[in-house]
Amino acid sequence: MKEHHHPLISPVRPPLDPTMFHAVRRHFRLWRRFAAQSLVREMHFRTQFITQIVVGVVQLVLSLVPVLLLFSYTDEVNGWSGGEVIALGGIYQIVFALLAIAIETNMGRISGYIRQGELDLILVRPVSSQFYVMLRWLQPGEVFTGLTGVGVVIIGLARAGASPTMVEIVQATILIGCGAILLACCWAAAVFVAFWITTVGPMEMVFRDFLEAGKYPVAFYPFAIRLFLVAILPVGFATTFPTEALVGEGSWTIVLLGIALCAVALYGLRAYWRFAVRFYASASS
Amino acid sequence: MTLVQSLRIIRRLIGIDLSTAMIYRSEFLLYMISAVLGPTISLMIWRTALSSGADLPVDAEYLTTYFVLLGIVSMLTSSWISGFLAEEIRLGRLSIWIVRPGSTHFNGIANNLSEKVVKGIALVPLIGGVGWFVRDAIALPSDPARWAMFGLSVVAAAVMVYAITVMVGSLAFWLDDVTGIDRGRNLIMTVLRGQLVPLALFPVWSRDIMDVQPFRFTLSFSLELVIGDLSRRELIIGMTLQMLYATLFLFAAVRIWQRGLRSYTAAGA
Repeated sequence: MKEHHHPLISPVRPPLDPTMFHAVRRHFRLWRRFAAQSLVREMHFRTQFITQIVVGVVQLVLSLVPVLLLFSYTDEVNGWSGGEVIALGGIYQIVFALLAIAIETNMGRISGYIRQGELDLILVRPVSSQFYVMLRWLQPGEVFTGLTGVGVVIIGLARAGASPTMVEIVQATILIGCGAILLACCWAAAVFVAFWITTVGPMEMVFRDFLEAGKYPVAFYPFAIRLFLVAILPVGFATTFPTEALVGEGSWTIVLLGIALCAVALYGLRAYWRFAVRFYASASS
Repeated sequence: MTLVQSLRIIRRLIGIDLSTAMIYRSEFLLYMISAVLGPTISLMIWRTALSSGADLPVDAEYLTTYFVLLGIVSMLTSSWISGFLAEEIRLGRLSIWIVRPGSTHFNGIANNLSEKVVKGIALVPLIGGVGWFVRDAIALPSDPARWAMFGLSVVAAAVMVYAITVMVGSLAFWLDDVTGIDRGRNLIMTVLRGQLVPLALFPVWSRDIMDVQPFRFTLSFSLELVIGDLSRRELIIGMTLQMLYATLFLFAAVRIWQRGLRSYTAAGA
């Protein structure tokens, strides 16, 4: 007897992405749509957009107050000059602008998705659910915060009398990227705890406060804290190492280590997400 | 409504808020870890600067005691009412309080006090832990009069901060969004009240302004009372200025609120 199928349902559907390359390309195309939509959305709230920029600049200027005061009493602290610490402050600003642009809004929404059962609608979409929950919403306005960070790096380096070569700039850029990815992974790992506990808001706050330590070189802290800031919460990796690269103290070994750590962290986070989703209770069902 | 009646309502509201706050006690613990982290990082940075030969105008004892006490005084003088007040006004939820025999501010005060009780329970052991690590460098006065003045000063500082946040929240009577203004207020206050860096470390040329600007009296002055070697004259001038500012800010907050209420459109009502 001949089998009859509904015209819209094929018995064997071709895979959405024949290869991994297709999957990456499709997700990248999707991310570009997310970015365009977020930009349009922010333009609707123009006052908030402008306020965000102004507050970002004020925040940056005020964050330099302790550094300027500190170095008005000394020329260097543990081998770091005032200019170098200012440049580091600029790199901190760039890293956090990257995180704010790409994942900050999403991190704030994840516990809501889980608590209210909205994750149901994400899991059934033909898209990687982890990609969606982590990168759906962007804050394009934070680009200006990043640009002011670049300005601060230039001022700091000029004050320190450093003129980095192209190779050093490339090393620093890769390290900034690695640092941002590592911090994003740590942040997401902290937020994914929402699969087990109701609210992760305060935990996120503690995480952010720990990151404040990255505003200063790791050499400013006692040995145990230094180790923590490089190996466990890699904020030192995101700020100290790129600054060292810019002042000619970086190395390709550190860059390669950064890339390797990123690969491990991304793989680990993927495995963690898959494990955590198993505990999703689908509150709305 | 008499003062006694008002206090009775506030007392009842504190009871309700306390039981609610106790439900979220683990969250408060995390918030308090967050409150201790900032001063602890600052403490490590400034101690490193001292040990690497920085010629600071204050010694290690001053810095250590300042940053250890900073967490608790900062918590006791904090206020988070502006955002909630602005939301009540914007969404028209203020109408509920207008028809009640009380004020939304009774609720705000009760919430502020009850959360501080729960936060205090979580914060004291944490501060104690940090203090234990640096116990050799902590210097506290033994004079009870100083501690009495400290207590009075903390209350006045809390009143000032509360009044400032009510003023910012009241701007929602005229503006759609006060979030940016509130963030700006918070950032400026963080520097000028001595939360980021002790005011004693500011340049000499700025001291005259720093000493009399109002934000000093929302945090730094209370700490200076127990840590600094303020002369009798400085002490009297400081306390007088603080009381004046507290009265002025309270008066301004009441006036702005009353004017705002007249232009309240009760959206959503």
